[in-house]
Amino acid sequence: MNILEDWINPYYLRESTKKAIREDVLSKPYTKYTALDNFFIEEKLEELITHHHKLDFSEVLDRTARENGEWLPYDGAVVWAEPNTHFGSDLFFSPLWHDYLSFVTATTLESPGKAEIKLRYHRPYADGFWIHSDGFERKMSAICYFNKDWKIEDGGMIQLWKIESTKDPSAPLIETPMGRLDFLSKYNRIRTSTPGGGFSDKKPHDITLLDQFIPHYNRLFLCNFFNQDSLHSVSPSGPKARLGFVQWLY
Amino acid sequence: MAKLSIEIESNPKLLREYARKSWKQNFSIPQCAQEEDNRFVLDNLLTPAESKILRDFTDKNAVDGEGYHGEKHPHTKEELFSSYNVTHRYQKSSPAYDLLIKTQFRVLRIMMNYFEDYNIQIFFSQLVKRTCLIESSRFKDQPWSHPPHLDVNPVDDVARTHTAVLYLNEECDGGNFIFQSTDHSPQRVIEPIEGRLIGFSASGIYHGITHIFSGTRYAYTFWFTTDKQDRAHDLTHTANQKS
Repeated sequence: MNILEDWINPYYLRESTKKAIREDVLSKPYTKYTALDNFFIEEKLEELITHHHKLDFSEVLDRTARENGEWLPYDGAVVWAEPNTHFGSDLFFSPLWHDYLSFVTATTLESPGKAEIKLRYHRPYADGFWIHSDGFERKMSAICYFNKDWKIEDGGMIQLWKIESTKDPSAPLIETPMGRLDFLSKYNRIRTSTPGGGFSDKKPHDITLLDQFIPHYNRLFLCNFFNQDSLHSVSPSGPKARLGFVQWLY
Repeated sequence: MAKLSIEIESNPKLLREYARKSWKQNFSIPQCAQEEDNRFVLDNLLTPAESKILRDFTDKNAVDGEGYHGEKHPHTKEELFSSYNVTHRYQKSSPAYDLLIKTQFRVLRIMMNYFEDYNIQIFFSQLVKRTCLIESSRFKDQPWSHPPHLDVNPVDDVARTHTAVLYLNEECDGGNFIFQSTDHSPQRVIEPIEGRLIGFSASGIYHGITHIFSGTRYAYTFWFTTDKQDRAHDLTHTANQKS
């Protein structure tokens, strides 16, 4: 038994499954992503969640971690996992896990071993997270959710957006929104010049909703930042707190 | 020899071949024709700039006597022993954080692939500095900075199964690493060259460090276990305890 066998549903460790996931990711015409359900061995995930509930989450830490001084409206609280400190870090920092993630997402890592893991807590009635990109230095992300019985109406969905070259006059113009981002659950085409980080030409573009996922218990969402414009957002949530972790590799 | 690459490090067969060749060229001695595969030496794991970052970090953060209950001269009065406990002290905000993690990851990958044991986990790592206090001639009674020993004693109840040492030295006279198969067998002397990694199985390999005649010897050391219980034992700490 190695660390992957300790943690991951054996189905996802089969060579045939790994290849199928990789092909699925590569076959996506725009953003390269996939979502894997029932990914971790439940007993192990439960243990991780038990430890997660004991953490002392900080909103300040999340806000100070912004790259390039860009301000993004967000309401998450975070603990950064560190090797040998947090339950799960034996997996998060394992070469076997990094090899697994880079293989199934067809990602070439530039800095093997460099990893960031945010253990996250989003309060009930969270405002959502305005459209942004995680790209640039990061090469891929893995997001795992801990939320049992999460329904569409609970919100908190991860949404992927595609930049369009055309303009649709009916698309609403939205710039640097504040407060609750309810419009994210309403429109599947909007126009903006201010996604997180901004467009290089500083002009408004139409973006359309490409796909969205419910933050289901034991779902692992994977995205390769091959396309650096991989724009995504999180829709506002209802009365439930939303928990999980995100891991980035470089 | 060709430079160690990610392709070699990631492939158990290539890595062992590479390490054997390197051992044969540089360290084998005629008295020991029968060499065992439970140890290796690999060079150029760090660039001089990376070694410098880790040396500077050690100089700034190491505590005298840490790891020996505050005993600053655990093996010889002629040296000062200082260390930085990476496992329990480093933080994401540390300037050397990325380099410490990347190095640790790379060493772990090499250990896993060399020993072909994917249960190997790091349970402890530290930056160690040994400073010569009294410069001396090579002819002296006490030849050791750390006499030959086995790494089999459990540490904090964790059974150590493997050890690795990565050298960060710029200049240091003496402080050579010594491998011995038994406590009386011939010694293989390995100089603590910057960027050199030594890895070995903790059981059955005697090793020691020779006296440091002048300068400071820097190393990043790693202790491994393959015991799952022990791994879990150390990972039950939470961030709250840390802050």
